[in-house]
Parts: sequence; C-alpha cells; structure tokens
Amino acid sequence: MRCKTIEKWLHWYGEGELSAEQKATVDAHVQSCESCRSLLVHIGRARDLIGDFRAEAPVPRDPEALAGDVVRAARQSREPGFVARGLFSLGRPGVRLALGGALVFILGSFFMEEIHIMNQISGLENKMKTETRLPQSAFVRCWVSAERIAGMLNGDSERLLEQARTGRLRFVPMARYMFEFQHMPAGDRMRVLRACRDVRKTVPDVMTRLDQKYIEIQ
Amino acid sequence: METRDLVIKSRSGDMQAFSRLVTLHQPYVYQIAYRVVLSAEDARDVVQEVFVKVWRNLSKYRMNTKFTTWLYRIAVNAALDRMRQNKRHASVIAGEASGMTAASPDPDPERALLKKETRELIERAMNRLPEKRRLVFILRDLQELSVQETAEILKCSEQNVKSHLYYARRHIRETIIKSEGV
Repeated sequence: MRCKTIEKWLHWYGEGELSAEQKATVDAHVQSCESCRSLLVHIGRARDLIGDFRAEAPVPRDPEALAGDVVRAARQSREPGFVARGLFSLGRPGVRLALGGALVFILGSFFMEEIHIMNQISGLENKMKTETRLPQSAFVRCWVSAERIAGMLNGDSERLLEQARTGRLRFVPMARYMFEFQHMPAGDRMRVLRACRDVRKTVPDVMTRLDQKYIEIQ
Repeated sequence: METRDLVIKSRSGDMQAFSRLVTLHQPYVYQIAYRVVLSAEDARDVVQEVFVKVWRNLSKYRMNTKFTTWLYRIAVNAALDRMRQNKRHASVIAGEASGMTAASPDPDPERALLKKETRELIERAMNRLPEKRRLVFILRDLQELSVQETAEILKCSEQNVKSHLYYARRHIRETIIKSEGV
C-alpha cells in the first residue's frame, strides 16, 4: 500500500471511520514504515492540541445579560418600531428593487403553492379518513382545531358551551365543532386527537397554515 | 422541558419558552460565532442576530428536522456575513481574540501561557483556511458535530465534509509541526 493512501487513512484512525480491513492495513504499514509512523505521532500531537483548544470553549462575558439582550431584541423585533423601520427602508433603491423582485416571485408562486397545499391536505384527509374510519365531515371539522378543543375540554368547556348556546361566543362554529366532538364516543374522540397529533408531527407547516386559515375564517 | 416543546411553545408566541430556548442554546451559538468571527464583541452581535432571526422565522422551521441543525445553519450564515463585513478580521488574531473569556481560566501561569500559545497558533492556522474548510473544521472538530450533521448544516455531501476536513486537519498539523520546529 502506498504511503499517500495510508496518510489519508491515518487522519481517520481511531475515529471509527475506517473499516476493520483499512485499520489492519494501517497497523501493518505503520509497523514497517518509519515515515508513516512519525506521521501518526504528529497527527496524535495535533489531535491533542486541537482537543486542548476545543476544551477551552469561548464563553461570553456575562451570559445572562446577553440572553436578556437577545430576548429583548426578539421582543422588539415584532413591535411597531420594527414595522416603522421597515417602511422607512422602502425609500432605498436597493430595497425597492428587491421588493419588486419579491412581489413578482410571490405572485408567480402564490397559486402554485396554494395548489400544492390543497393537494397535501386532500391527501392527508384521505389517509386519515382511511386510518380513523370516521366520517370525513367529522374528521375535517375536528382535526384542524383538535388541540384547541383538547385544551377547552380540560378547561372551562361548560362555560364556553353555554356561551355558544346563548350566542355570546365569538367563535360559534368552533364551539359547535367542540359540541359535536364532545358528543362523539370516547374512543372516536381519542382516535381523532391521536390522528391530529400525528398529522401535526408530520406536516407542521401545513398545519400551521391551516390554523391560520381557520382563524381567518372565524 | 425539551427543545421540541420549547420550540412548539415559542411558535405560539410564548416569550418565556423562547427565553428558555435562548438560555439552552446560546452557549453553542456563541462558540460557533466566536470561532468564525474571532471577536468577542462581534460574536455577541451575531448571537443576538441569530436568535432574532430564529424568533421571527420559527413558523418556517420544519419540525421533522433537528432544531440545532436549523439553528446552527442560521448561526454559521450570520457569522459568515459578519466575518465578510468585518474588514479588520485579518488583524483580529493579534488583538481582540486574545481577550477571549475561557470557560475556566487556568490558575497555573505557565500552563495558561501554553494554552494561550496553542490557541493563537490554531486560530492563526484556522484563519488561513478557505472558508468552507474552516467551517467544516469548526463544526466537526471543535463543536464535535457528526459528519452527517455538519453536511446538513453546510448543505453539502458527507464526502465533501470528509474531504475538507482532511485538508483542514493537514494544514493545522503542518502549522503545528512548523511552529514546533520538528
């Protein structure tokens, strides 16, 4: 075996990246080759120094203050001041050009994205309908707001239902779905909740968008 | 509470959960940022920028990918941007970098000096590496991420990571040998 190949392998020696065969070849070669043996020593030395360097991990001065600054900056980034700064920057030519490009892109991709999401939703609905064996109407109504429903069931659902009945609740359709959901057999309710949770895990983005749409519809 | 739960809560606007998320991941983001920009002040700015981006873009984060992969990618990009902007980067080694706060300062002055020399030597060697090679070295050898995660963060193949890592290590080894006069 040529020293050049061995040299490459030596860098991975002891890191579990070499096959048993490669390791045996390196071992045998190093026994008989003075230059590669010396290289192995140098690699070991470099590895030790890198290890020392790594152990001396940089730490910010006053990490709590930094964390505080970070959270404050994040909070401010959503405040009106941020929007105002954004509008102010519209006057700059580069920003205007970028916005123009972005607008064209958004308009172009809008319909494609909508179709894509609708396809995903319809695929998921069919999948979940088959898996849960529930009527599609029940499923579609419940999966979108299942988390909220679950929260309400644990909380003051009676008060919410009463509000729904007397028409004082703003989100009447939601309360109606909740009402239907509550009157399902317990097994079905669990299946719906489990199905919703699984869907949320697999396609969080689609679910987030659905939630947003749902809130808009309300 | 696990990162995943904190992310879910932060997505719904829970500032307390986000604050916890920051506390949990800030040290690693700072390490990456510092090792790229080699300046404590700039690293602090990068950390702030990274978490503001995270906060604003949490809804875009796909829960089926590892949070740290997404976070570190943002950190690497922000640090690179800062490094490119930073014209004084080349002179940083001799100046600000030595003002780094170590996790546990060594009480033995001789050993402390040795550590300082090692640090400066490796930082100097790192500084001469091409950008991608340097990032691979930072993520794999200093942050001890796996080859796979390094590849995901840098959006390249594992083979590519291994190749860059080989040349980075060789360069650093040669710098060390040269400095030791072997």
